Amino acid sequence: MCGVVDWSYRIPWAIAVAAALLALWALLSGGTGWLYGVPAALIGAGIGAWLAPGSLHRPRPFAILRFMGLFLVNSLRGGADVAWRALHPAMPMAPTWTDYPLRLHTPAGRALFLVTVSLMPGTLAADLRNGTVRVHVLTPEMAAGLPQLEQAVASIFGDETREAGT
Amino acid sequence: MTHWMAALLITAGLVFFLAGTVGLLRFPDAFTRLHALTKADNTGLGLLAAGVAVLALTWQLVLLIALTWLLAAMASSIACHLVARHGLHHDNHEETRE
Amino acid sequence: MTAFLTLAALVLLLLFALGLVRMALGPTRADRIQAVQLSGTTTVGILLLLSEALAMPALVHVALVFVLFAALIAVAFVRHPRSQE
Repeated sequence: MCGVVDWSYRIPWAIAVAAALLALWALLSGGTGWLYGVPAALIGAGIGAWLAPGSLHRPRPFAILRFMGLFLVNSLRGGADVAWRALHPAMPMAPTWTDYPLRLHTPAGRALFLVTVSLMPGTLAADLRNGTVRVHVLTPEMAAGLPQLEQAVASIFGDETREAGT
Repeated sequence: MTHWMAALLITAGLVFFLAGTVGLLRFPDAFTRLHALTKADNTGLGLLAAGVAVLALTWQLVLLIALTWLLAAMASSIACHLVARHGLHHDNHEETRE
Repeated sequence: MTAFLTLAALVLLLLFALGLVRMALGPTRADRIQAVQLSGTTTVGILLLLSEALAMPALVHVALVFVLFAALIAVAFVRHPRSQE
């Protein structure tokens, strides 16, 4: 609204949003109806540039692949673990709360961590306050897997350099 | 061959759905039930979607099914976090029925 | 294969119906909303199965819409004033 708008970080956001929306349109419509798809993608790009929350993270394909692998394996393990507990006649579990001090700093990294924790074996993120996550665990030793997940998230967003300081 | 693989994946998915519902009914409190529901149903839907994707005839359909599962996983884990946080702050005492 | 897919869809429907017991029992609102979440996931599963059983790929699009609804339900629940009393 006032002053000079800094476009240097907004342009990459607009391009990224437009590319994602066009790909989504191609997938949903089977490659037809670009008369509607292209204007919608352009509007999306405009909104993306308007709302851009800081500069776009440099994409790190290997970190993302590593994270996806970890996520797939662990969500399968998490499902199998809780399914076994539910179907077991004695329901073996010792649910409790634990606090996990988060080393991630970027908001995007924190959000990704909170969302994925709930699909990992036996852990469930309930709250984040003052950099500490309130985690509900099915058995106390389940929290041991959290640092590995945090490390994988950190390497996507380039968050690991600040680790030593905290 | 693909039929057997699809049947196997879908059956495995159903087992996880069954475990999710059993957990929802058997587990002792709201938070442990959230574990059962979120994780078991997410895995079940993933396996079931993989089974249906094996039967799909076009790549477009396979990608759409993958997108459906990805969005469902995101939605269910965000929902799980929101409900857990709500439960932590507001449901400390048993609800009085209106 | 069609018969198997239909049977699988019926099993999911049955599991969803069983989940409704939790909605009736409660005791907290967080418990009840979980039965709603379960209904969302099973509906998506049923739609995916039926898209193949009925050879109607459009049902996958319907499943996508239901996924988006399922996400909104939880947000609406948490934001609902009466659930914060």
